[in-house]
Amino acid sequence: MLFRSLCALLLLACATFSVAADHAGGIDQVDKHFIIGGEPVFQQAVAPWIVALVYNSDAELVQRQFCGGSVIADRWVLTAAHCLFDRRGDLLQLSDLNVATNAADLGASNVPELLITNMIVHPDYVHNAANPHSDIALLELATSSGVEPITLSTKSSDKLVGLQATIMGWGAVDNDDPSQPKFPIQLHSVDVPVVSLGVCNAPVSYNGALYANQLCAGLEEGGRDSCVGDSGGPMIVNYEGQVQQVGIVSFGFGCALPNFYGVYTDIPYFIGWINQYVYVGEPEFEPELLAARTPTPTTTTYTDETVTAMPQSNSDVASMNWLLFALLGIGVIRRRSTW
Amino acid sequence: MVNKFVMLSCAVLMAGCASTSSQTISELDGQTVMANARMGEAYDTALTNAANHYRAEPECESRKVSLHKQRKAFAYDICAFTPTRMQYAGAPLSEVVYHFIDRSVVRVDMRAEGSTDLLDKIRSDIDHFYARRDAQTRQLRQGSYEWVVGDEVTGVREGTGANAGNIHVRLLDRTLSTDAPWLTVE
Repeated sequence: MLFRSLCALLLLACATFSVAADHAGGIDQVDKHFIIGGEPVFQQAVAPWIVALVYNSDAELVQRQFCGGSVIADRWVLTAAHCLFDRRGDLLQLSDLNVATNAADLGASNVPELLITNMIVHPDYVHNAANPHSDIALLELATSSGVEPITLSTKSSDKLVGLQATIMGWGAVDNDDPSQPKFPIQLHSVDVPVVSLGVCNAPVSYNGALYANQLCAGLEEGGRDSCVGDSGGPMIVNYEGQVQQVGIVSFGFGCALPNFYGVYTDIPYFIGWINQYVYVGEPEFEPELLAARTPTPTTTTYTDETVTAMPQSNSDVASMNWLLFALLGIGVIRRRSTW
Repeated sequence: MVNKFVMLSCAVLMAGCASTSSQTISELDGQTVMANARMGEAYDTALTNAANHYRAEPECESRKVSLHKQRKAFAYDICAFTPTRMQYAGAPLSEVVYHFIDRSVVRVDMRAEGSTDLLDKIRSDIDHFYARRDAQTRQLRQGSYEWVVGDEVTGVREGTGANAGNIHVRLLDRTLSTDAPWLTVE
């Protein structure tokens, strides 16, 4: 009870400070848009290539949607690797999920659901790692998606810093209470500026935890961001006159919080890997090598594919603890089992 | 003939004893069983077993929730049974609730009518159960106790406020404290 009271006081103090800071900056109130801060997308034609990953059950579509994705070729969908793992870290079965196309309105009848024949997870992805980088996966569909694929960016993302990116998804529009996030039926989108990795790795933000194959986007003051349920969905930019996908919604501390930008998988970094399965164009830069702390991969097999899985090293565990403390430090660590 | 009658009577008696309502907690394959369910048990299995046992239909709610720092949405289902004329530890059992994430049991709650005497009885029973499993036991506060073994947390507490007159027993997956702390709070 004391703890709750302290938390309440701390939150109140933070909220007061935040609003006061915004007033000082000339902003009347905290701008709290989500996909958080975005707007509904009523026409599928705006983004024909966006798809929803849905569980295969008899519940309503909006209840079954759990991630997003994008069609990058007739029978190939790009998404986040972590979308394909359950809470325990086990890979989902092919029969567990479908891909819903033309699903801008999850409440519409006859939203097409396509079967998946193959799931390919990037070999460097480590589920439950402190920083789950290389968060990228491909889904091969059993049949043609019949939708126009999106173009993937093949250029270095360094040039994107400062540009407005658009994030799309069916994720929470309000995550103030993580036990009861508010999810929309309609596809939403939000515009956020791409932020340099330097800013995103600043001590007040992710404090050096992010890798070169990750992108950040958002506002320093927060208020606009992707959120729960948007994972796997696309980050797109209009660059050199062409709409291109540059990122995949990966993770973030909270949603739309000040200094904690959304973290996205940097697609150009993975063009070579994607080309192993479906050709999407030649990379126009030499991807920077990842930091040396990346653990050595070991090979594991599932279904009809061979994937490589990374062992969770001690350094990863240590950095997970570090990250947790760094991110949760301001009063968010909760006493265990206060019931 | 008499022998057969005696044996049959004993069998009936033993069956009755085996399902005695004073059994508050049990173990199967190294896992704790409470309200006929174990952590990680599949949604359909848990609800089918419960419906048969409690001879009642569940009232369920579904929603999506967030876990840890992931931006994937997880399915959360909560199903409640209101058994009639069932007992738990010799007291009227008023409610059994199952919580599922990703269609697997992550928490089970039972509520029985009673106060300190019932709390002591259940606590003693659970203490005895965990004595051989090297559980970490602690008192959270007056009238609230907890046992931790591996990834399982068992708790018993006396209801307060609107829940006064009830004893609440629960079993939950310890990893929830990281993944979904809101689900570890009553």
